[in-house]
Amino acid sequence: MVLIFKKIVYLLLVIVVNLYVCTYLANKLTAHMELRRGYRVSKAGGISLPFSRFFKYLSNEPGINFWTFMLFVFSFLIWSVSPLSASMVLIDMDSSLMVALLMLLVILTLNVSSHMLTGYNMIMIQSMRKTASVLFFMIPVFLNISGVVLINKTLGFKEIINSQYQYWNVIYQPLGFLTTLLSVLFIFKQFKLNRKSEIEAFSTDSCEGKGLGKAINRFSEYNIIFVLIYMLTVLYLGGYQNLYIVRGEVMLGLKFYLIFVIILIAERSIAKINDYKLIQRINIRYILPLSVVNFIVTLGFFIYRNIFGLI
Amino acid sequence: MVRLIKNFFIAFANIFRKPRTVVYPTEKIIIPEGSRGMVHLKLDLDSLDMLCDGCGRCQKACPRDCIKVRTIVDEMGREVLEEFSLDLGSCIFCGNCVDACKIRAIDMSYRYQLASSNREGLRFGKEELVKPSGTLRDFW
Amino acid sequence: MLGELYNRTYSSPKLLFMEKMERNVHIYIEQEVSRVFKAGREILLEIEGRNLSSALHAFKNIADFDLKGLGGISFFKNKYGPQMLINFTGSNPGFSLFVKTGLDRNNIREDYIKKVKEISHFYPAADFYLWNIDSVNAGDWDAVIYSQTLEGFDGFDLYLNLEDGLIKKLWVDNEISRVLDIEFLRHINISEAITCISRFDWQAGVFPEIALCRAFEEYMQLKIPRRADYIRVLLCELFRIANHLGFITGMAHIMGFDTAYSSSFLEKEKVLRIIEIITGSRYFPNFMCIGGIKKDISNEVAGRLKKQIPEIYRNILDIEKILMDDFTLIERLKDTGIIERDEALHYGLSGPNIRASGCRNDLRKDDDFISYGDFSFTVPVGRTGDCFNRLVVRFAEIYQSLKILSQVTGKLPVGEILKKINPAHVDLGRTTLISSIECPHGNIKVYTEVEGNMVDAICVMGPSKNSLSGIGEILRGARFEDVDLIIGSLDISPGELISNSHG
Repeated sequence: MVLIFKKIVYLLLVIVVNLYVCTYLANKLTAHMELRRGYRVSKAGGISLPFSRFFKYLSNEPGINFWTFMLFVFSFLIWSVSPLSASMVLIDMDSSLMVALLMLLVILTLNVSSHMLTGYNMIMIQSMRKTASVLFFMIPVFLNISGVVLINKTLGFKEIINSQYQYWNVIYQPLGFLTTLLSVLFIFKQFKLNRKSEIEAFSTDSCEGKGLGKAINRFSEYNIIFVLIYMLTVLYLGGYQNLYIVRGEVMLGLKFYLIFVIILIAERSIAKINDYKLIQRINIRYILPLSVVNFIVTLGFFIYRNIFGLI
Repeated sequence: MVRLIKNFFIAFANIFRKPRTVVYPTEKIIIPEGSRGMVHLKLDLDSLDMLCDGCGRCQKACPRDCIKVRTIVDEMGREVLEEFSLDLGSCIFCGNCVDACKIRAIDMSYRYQLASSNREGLRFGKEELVKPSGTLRDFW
Repeated sequence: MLGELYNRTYSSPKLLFMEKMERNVHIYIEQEVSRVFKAGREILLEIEGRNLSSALHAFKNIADFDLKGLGGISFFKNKYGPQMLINFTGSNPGFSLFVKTGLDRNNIREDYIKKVKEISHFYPAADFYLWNIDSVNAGDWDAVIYSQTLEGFDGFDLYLNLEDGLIKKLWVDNEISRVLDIEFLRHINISEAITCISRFDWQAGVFPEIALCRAFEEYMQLKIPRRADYIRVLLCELFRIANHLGFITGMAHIMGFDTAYSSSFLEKEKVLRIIEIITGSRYFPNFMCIGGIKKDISNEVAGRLKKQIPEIYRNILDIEKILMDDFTLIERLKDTGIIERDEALHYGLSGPNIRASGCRNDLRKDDDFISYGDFSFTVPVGRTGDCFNRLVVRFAEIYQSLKILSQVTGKLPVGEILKKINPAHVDLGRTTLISSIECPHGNIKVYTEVEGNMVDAICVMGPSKNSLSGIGEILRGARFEDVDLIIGSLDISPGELISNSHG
């Protein structure tokens, strides 16, 4: 019992620290990319920025309804099946990848339903469009994940990581890695986590909700990105595999932040896209065909090796 | 597509460049020479008297009527400057008063921290207008 | 020398247009017009209120008049009471005709609205001048964007009627920019008026000043020194570059491209610093006076400027590469906010906005007011009139301005900078002066009535107002997300919206 409680505390701590670091990085690095200094109220490089954002949310009355509460619960539940190290996992099960994907879909659906209660037609249309395009970018992600599953013949995170002890999956599936990265980038772009003063600010969910409820909504949006980046590191880059003397947990963190920073920079170097037809075109023209090709090649390989036993 | 990759590296390189933000109270941009700041009354360097004789040309030239000049006759029978006041609330920093002055007794200084919390703080008498500014100008 | 001779022998297209108009007025509407006279470089007709309708009928229907668009309606007060000034533009928006009618002294507002309705019967673009908060509330709007909330929105509120995220109808309420009292800039000295007039276009403050000075010089037949003329050209082009760089900054910010945003802002700061070194102020130069300029520029400054031109050119080229090679940007900019050439002419658009629609007009080429004839440059023209063309035309204009700058700094003549006259001693009598100049947003027109050496009335007709009147046409059918992009691409300067023209 004490062991489980300890694990829960560790997990919560990791999530909160991660949220803090990513908020700070998103603010500071984007500021430097634009040759600005960024948030600078406290002298020491603006380290209190994430707190100040959080307290700003708290200063309003909490606008929590049932859906936001569910969102909050599921945002934490998703981490209970994902292993952060060999022993650091709350629920150890065989098909943890399946469960994580299911939770991701639940979060996305709840994200919509919390906006369905709004009284404004415009806001609902915009938020539905946003979620639709996010789901549209999830198709390549799902295809690539099935490719990885076919290669490793397992549905658990732990087995996938363990099977990469020699070579990472990115060597077998470079196309899959690339398309997943691009999809995550465009999903990140959809959430617009650090943009202000634009015309969508009037019409989208960013003006909807207040107080703690809004904070939870934002947290769930961050969480979707975190889970996707975590999956990217686990499925393609070997997860918490040790590298010589470097510990596995450290390696996981390094890879995670490396991908986060790459996505952050790429997000800044592409202009704001609010044309949903253009988003669809980008997906249909570039990302989706590549992932389909990747999936078909992997499937053919799988059939040849495992069903006909040719290779 | 190549451009996107190039833009990625430009954004990446910007991280390591020096930020161009000027954090105002601690850092300041040096104002170039000839820039128009607050009106400043010049002093005669030998006698440390005010050069202004109160002819009132600047008062006439001011399009916003923010300069007020008044002279009195002292006991020696000379006409001397009694009052020279500037209302910064309506000053537009046009520099017409400097052009109008025949004896070059006023110029535009480089004082620019002029905010005040009340209207009275924006009215300057001749004692304040004589004070020199604390910052240096840019010479190149 | 040869240039002067050439200009004297062959009049500029603008003067030819004026001659033609004067002839046509005498042929067709002699009875309606009570007075015709040349005011500076424009023609002014005085028409009585009851004759306005028949005169408008003639303007619209007689092909010889060739008055296609409405340049603007304004309302001012002079010694004789409230007056209304209407500007009609030809197939080249730089060529225009001014009409002045009196308004009823007792019920100004009703008379004004009646007359604007009369105009809008012939020129539907005049509907814009009837929009106020009452007409907005009468229509059913479901989204409103208040001023100063977004980049490019300043000085007006936009009320939108949406259907499935597309814009069906819209209203503009620029009551917020009507801060100007009707008695402001009346009964002041001429030199004070020149000092204050740059507030009407504070994004490019030197242009109204030059327009006003030019009007007086034209009236007094004053030939200003060549060096002063060249320095005027230099300042004009510097302000044009600064304004266009500000425009690019705004566009990059709207499109979420913040690396280009910061670098173009830095370039704008560089240019503004040069302007500050030359004139002493970043936005309100107060540098022009009748007969020349107030301050000479030293050789050191000219040399420094000459050294900086290639650097600025290279940096702007980099910004253009960052912005214009990106396919996501181009896909967004292309085919949004299209305005056709004829529509644009009807609304009286001018400057880069109409050049992007494929109409080649530029007062720098068509009129010989300041010595632009001495420099070689081209007028960039777009094709389809969408946001992409408007951005490309402005980039090309920056390069042309840099070209002019390098020519000016290369052959800056030596000599006087000011033909000394004292306007206080010159008694002009009662005259009306109009002058127009190509400012970065379009043609800015300054109407002045002078009595003695005092100004009786000043009326500035900015091109941004025409751009704003056309947004009903440009935004119809556009997506709601593109509103800020389209309005940003029109480069509306809030200073020019200040006037008393709305009912």
